[in-house]
Amino acid sequence: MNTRTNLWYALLFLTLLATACEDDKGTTPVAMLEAQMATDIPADTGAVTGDPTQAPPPNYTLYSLRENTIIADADSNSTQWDIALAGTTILVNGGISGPGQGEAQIVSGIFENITQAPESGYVADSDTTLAIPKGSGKGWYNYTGEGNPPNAIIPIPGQIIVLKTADGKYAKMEILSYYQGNPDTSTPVFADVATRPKGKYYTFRYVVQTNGSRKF
Amino acid sequence: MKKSLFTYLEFLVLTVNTVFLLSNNATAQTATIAGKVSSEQGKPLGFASVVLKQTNQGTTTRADGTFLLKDLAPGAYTLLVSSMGFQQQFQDVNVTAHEQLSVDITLPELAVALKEVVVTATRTTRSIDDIPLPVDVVSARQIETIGSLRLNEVLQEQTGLQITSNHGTGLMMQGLTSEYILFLIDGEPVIGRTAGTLDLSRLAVDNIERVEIIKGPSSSLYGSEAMAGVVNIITKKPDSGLSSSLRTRYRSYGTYDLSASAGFAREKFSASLFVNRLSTKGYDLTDETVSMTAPPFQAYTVSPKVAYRFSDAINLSINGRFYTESQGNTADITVKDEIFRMDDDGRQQDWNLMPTLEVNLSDKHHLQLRSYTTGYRTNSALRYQSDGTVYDESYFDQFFNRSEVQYDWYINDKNVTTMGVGHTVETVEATRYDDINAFRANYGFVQHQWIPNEKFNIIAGGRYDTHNAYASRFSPKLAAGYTVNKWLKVQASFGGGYKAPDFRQLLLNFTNPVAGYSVVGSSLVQERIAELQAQGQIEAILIDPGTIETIRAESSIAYNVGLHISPGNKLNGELNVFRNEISNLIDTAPIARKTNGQNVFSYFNFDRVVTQGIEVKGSYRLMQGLDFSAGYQYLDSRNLEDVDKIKNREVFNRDPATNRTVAVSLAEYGGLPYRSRHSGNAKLFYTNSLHQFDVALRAIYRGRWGLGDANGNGVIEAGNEFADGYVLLNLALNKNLFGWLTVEGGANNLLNITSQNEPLLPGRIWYGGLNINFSDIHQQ
Repeated sequence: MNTRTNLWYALLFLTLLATACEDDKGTTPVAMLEAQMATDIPADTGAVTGDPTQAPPPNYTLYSLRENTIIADADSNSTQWDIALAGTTILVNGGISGPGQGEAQIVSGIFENITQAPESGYVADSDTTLAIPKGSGKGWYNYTGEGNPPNAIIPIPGQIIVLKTADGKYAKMEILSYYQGNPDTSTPVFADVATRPKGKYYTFRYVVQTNGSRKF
Repeated sequence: MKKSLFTYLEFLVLTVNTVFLLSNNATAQTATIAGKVSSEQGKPLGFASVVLKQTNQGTTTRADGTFLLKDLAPGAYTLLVSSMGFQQQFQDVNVTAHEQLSVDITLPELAVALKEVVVTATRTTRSIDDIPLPVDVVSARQIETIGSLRLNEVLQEQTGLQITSNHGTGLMMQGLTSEYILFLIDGEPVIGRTAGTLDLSRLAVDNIERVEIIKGPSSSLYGSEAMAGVVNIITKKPDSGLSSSLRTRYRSYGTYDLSASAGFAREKFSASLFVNRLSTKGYDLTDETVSMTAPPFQAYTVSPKVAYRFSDAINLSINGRFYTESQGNTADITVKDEIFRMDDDGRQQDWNLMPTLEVNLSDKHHLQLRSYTTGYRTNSALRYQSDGTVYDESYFDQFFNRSEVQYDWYINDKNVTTMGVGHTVETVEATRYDDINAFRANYGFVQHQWIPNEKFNIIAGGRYDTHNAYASRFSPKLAAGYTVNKWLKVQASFGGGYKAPDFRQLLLNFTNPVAGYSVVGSSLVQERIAELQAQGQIEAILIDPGTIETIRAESSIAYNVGLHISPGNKLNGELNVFRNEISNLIDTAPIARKTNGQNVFSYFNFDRVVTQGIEVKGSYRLMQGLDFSAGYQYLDSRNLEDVDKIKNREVFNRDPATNRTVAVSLAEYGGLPYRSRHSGNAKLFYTNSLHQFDVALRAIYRGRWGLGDANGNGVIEAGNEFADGYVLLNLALNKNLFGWLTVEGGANNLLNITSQNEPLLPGRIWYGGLNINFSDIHQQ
């Protein structure tokens, strides 16, 4: 009886080993790229909400995903920046927005589980539509209106932005917060507009695949 | 306002005088009848009714069964004695002047205690025991005991019903909202809904005889809207002779209610008038805004009734109702970046007139002709407080007429057939609609009840509706009951329900003046989009209007399976399992994006929804006069499209504290908004017939319910997307002082519960009042 059980275990072990070897043969072992965090990136914090026809043009914050840093406004007509943020609007460096190769699409899923960028489906910013669509429930965020917490911009869970950087590299990013300090949005402090941290401060995590492949 | 109050008081003084005058006339007589009413077992019967058939003079017995009829003219009389659960007895008596006659009357118990009757389930008067459907009846006595002012307060305490606040005070039945519930007054539909909700606080309850609640689709009899069920308000008919009453109550938040009624009935002619005035100072649960949660209002209801019996065979009755309510609120409105304080005034009115001619061709053939006309109108205006100029003004004017012939054929005691045909016209004219719009519909229905033997009871029927704006429909229904033994009955029913697209869904043409989005009814969408495109207002078309089909009626199929148990006299239990499968649910979706960044929405049939659950209730008589009852509903509601997405792991949520994103599991799914998975009640009613008082203590539980999606994943699952449940504790005390005068008092929401998600809960409400019954003065 005992020997038989041992034999079963041995067989099982061998089978597992064989499968593992097969896997190894099929894919090149790549260490998962480490996600980078961008915290409290201001996005036109000086602007006043109101009638859009009366307001001055939005002051975009230019951001380089590759360098993980804010780029000076003077370099707006360059490929140094990858995304630009103003309020809830996100531009990518391409199309009408910049000289780069930037394009994007939104993929539904869990950030870690998106291990490969889609081959097609990317769009660039154009006159009629942005690569990352504007509006509540249409792109990356939901406006809660009279819900709970009220009048808040909450990133839609599972909406991952997969984009091409200005130099055409694939990147994935997940926006975590629109408020300064990445606050817990389920607390009474956040629910109360008077004590809620300031908005238009982005916290997001992202991965750029610099080798040009679609693998993350 | 003050002036009209005085007019009422004058009217009441007049009524009182008339009543006293009549009783003074009677004092010229001198004979007296004293007596005692008891059961065959010798138990004294309190509150039995004793009436002299010849004069309609009468009284009720005291708790010890005794009664006294004074000031009678000498002569021969017939005493008619009746008490609930006992057989009615006639006793001939002869009284001479200055004599006190003494009579003792015993009443034999009814083999089967007389049960309540219902008309809503079959459109004919049937004993509640003969209806194999989930039926609830709330009696006038219950309504009076709990001190309710409006229908929502009555329905809130019933098992399986929830009150919701959405464009008015609405109702939820079997997991379906007000839109899918048909509300009737004496069998005729109440109109005037806002976004599908019929505001129950428009309906005063002091003139209600009983409320019948039929759960499960009843479109086979009533057509559109009766998809979740029917609530039928049966109003009081005047008692024989002259009667009048006055009831006044004062509540917290400056709420003042005054009801007066006067009635007159003889063999052939009867007439009555009910008048109610309700006003409140309102309350505010949101300090940060200037608008009040419940604004002050005053409302008047006037319901006259006349009936004339031409012969035993022909009876004509005309009922009417007039209602007007005006309210005033304040609002801060942003116009071009500047905030203005404005007066927000609204008025709503409804009226109806229902003449009914009943013709009994013979014992077996009964004909009813009804022509019902009703109207509903709202006006609202926003005016700048600074100079009184109008910022926005709107109105809504609805008219509805229904003419119907119903024929009941009582073939024999085993078979009853009911059939009818009718025609309806409905028009709406409103700020948000382009023209006067009219709907026309014809329908026919037939139903047969077959009671082959003591054990079986079967009802089958169907209704066919044709309409000028959407496709014709057939709604079937089949119900069967089986009496297993003395204490157990089982029943099952199957039915189809539908809800027609309303004016709003077909013909709305609305652009929000503040936010700038537009909503267009499905019949207008092509035309309107073309128009907006021509004006250069459209940035992008999201759904090609050419591909949009006309919306279809929402429809359902539903199953109800239940059982009743009554072991012994003290315990009663009921269980009902239900499932409603709804398809073609109508909702809005964006069809185009405007250049101002806002969307144009229209109505579509898209979702499939299921609501299912179990309802259990029971009552137990703890001792004579003390009754305990409890009820519970488990409700599961789901949008099947959402459920599919969750099963495919396509819906995500993020922990707001840790920012970790995970796929939503089916266990987390909270179903449709506003539905509480768990709800129930427990009630204790005590009646002391010796000291003539009663106490009603009720606990109403509403479990946590979903508010709506907050994190944008389209479903309700995260903690902050739910509102916490609560328990309301309501206490009512009524003490009868002199027979004609009852004092009442109590508190609703004793635990002082408030919730930011429940605008209907201002906190604890105290009340007190007086109830005067002039017909009782006359009797004593």
